[in-house]
Amino acid sequence: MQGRLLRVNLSTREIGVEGIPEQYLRDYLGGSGLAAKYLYDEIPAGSSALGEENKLFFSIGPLNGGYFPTSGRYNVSCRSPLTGLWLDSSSSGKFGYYMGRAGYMAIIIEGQSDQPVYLYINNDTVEIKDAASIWGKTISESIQLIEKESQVKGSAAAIGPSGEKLVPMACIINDGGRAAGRGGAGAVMGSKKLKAVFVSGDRKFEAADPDAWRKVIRELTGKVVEHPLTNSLKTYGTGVAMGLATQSGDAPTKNWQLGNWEGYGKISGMTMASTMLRQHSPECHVCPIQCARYVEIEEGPYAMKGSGPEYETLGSFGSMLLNDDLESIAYMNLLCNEYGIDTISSGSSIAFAMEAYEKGMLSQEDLNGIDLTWGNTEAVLAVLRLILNQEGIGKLLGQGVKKAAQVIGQGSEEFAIHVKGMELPMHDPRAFFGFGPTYATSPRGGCHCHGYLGAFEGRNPIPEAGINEIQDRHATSGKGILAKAVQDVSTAVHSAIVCIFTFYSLSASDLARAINAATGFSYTGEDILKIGERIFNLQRAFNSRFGSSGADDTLPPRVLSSTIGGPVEGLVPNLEEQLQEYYQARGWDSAGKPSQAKLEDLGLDYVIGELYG
Amino acid sequence: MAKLLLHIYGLIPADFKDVELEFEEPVNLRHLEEEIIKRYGQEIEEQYISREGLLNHRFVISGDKYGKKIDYDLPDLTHIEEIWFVVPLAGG
Repeated sequence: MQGRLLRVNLSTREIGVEGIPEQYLRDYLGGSGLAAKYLYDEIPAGSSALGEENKLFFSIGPLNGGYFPTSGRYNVSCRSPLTGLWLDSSSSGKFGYYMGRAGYMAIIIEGQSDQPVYLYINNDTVEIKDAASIWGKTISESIQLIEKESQVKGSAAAIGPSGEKLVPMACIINDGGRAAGRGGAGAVMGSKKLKAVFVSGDRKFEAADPDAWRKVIRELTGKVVEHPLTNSLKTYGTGVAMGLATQSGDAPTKNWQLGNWEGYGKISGMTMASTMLRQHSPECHVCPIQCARYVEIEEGPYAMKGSGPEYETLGSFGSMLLNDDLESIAYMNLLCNEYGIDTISSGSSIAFAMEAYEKGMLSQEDLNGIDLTWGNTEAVLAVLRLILNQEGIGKLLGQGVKKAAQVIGQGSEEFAIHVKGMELPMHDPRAFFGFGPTYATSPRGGCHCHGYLGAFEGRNPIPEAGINEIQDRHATSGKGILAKAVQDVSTAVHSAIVCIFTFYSLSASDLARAINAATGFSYTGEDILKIGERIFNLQRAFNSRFGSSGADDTLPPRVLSSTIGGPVEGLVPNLEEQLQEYYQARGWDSAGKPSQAKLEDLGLDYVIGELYG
Repeated sequence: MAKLLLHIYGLIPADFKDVELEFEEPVNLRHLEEEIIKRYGQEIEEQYISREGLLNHRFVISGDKYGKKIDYDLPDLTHIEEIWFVVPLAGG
């Protein structure tokens, strides 16, 4: 197994290629894990997220660059400007495939350019190119211009005006609307005046054991294709979950207050499929699931065509705001994609502002004259435009709800729904108790991807972690153990790096077989979990460097009290009990600090000195 | 006879059924589930059927259109407008 790292310094304009030590690949795989190793070693304490010392780490893993299902993905990591903590954010599409074809497992971008630039990579040709003519343009315009100039087949990951303006919830977009969405990697790119990274190449993927590789691809693709949820996701997209929200109680509603709403069906994946859906988007490389949507609204105020809203956006711009106008959500999703801003955080910030306005903490004057009442679609769009253009109240709301609540005060912290500064995603811990400890302890803040409960809680066991029984979603006992196991699996998946949706049907043992065929390693499913655990602890150590501790492992008070009405009314996770079980399962002390013995067991001796001073 | 509107979502891969069925009164949850299994049992994922030949409520939620849970204790469901059978999904 060989890996190459491309190191680009935008301050000095130095470009170099390094070999990645094989032990790094064995211990951290790639993706999020490899990023954790390099960034822990290279980003010093006291550095600013938007300063020269922060680094941006694009990475793929051992399964990318060939034809493993969903292997077009890539990861991008840095210190987050939204949370000040660890950030990894992954995206689908084809960018990861082309990174592999270019022959780089990782691209580390250092320093800051004084002029707008983009990075052009085609095999061994690496150039820092002038981007003055595309700075300020939307993402689709920028990518079109870069692809035209490049004249080779490839993929570009770009920022829009939000990233250029250093909005802490700015994201990176590639391949027609696929997003490395959370935590503000787009702002870090903007701080480096890096408009885009274009990758292309023609290196062939070479598996260590070609016969085993072909066999494992065939077998695992079959498992994914045949799984019943694959068909649902293909037919209705991720928005299928919105159509089930009345029964599941999973969709946060009216800024996490209500437990039910008559609008879920109007904004569901089923409604999308019967109205605006034109085709299942082909944007994702070798994906048998095809949940991505391509939608078109032919006329009216929200006429658009492009990537359709995912479940998360249906929640953040729909149920959270009591906005049941699906066309408006599709349109606002497109705006977010073009300006390059996270839909979860921006929609959640608007929900926060709505509640502040309802409670008299923000006036109509504060809101540039906008009457931001629940369900007022035009008002939502107007405030979104303020965020995108960084005007008026939009400057504050673009900082996220934690910062906004600090500025507004008046008790607004009570309904600023975030963990460690990141707005919660659209899955309610009162509907699936396992989200309690996973949200509270995720290294990047409120996040459902680091512990992808959706594939496990009430659905799949994890025998490699000794979890052989499917857990009831509202049980308390066992959730800390489940959360730890799911986080370890998810972290390994984001390091491998493939789509977490494959884990409705695949297991850690399946992933081990694929990695073994690709690399020649000899992992078991249990080894995969241990790698995930190692990476998770390393990311925890990174956060400790920037002042985070177990005291931050909590949920907003509102999420720890009952919904008003709905199928899960009266059901609330006992977070304290869950966390103690979780810490014990992790080998951490009762304050959430990894023990020295655990760190030694994971081969993380090198973090002990800093953690224990 | 009573007509009941049933929504069967997530039990059959990518096939969400909205069906109106007639039952002799009174009708309880057991009657409904026996009828669902009789009609769609071949298509429903095996794990969603219990050992007793009913729906497996470890996975399947049954509720009214407001999300209020319906269980086996209710003697008659004919007054309920719509009855939903859902396998919840926390994906996306």
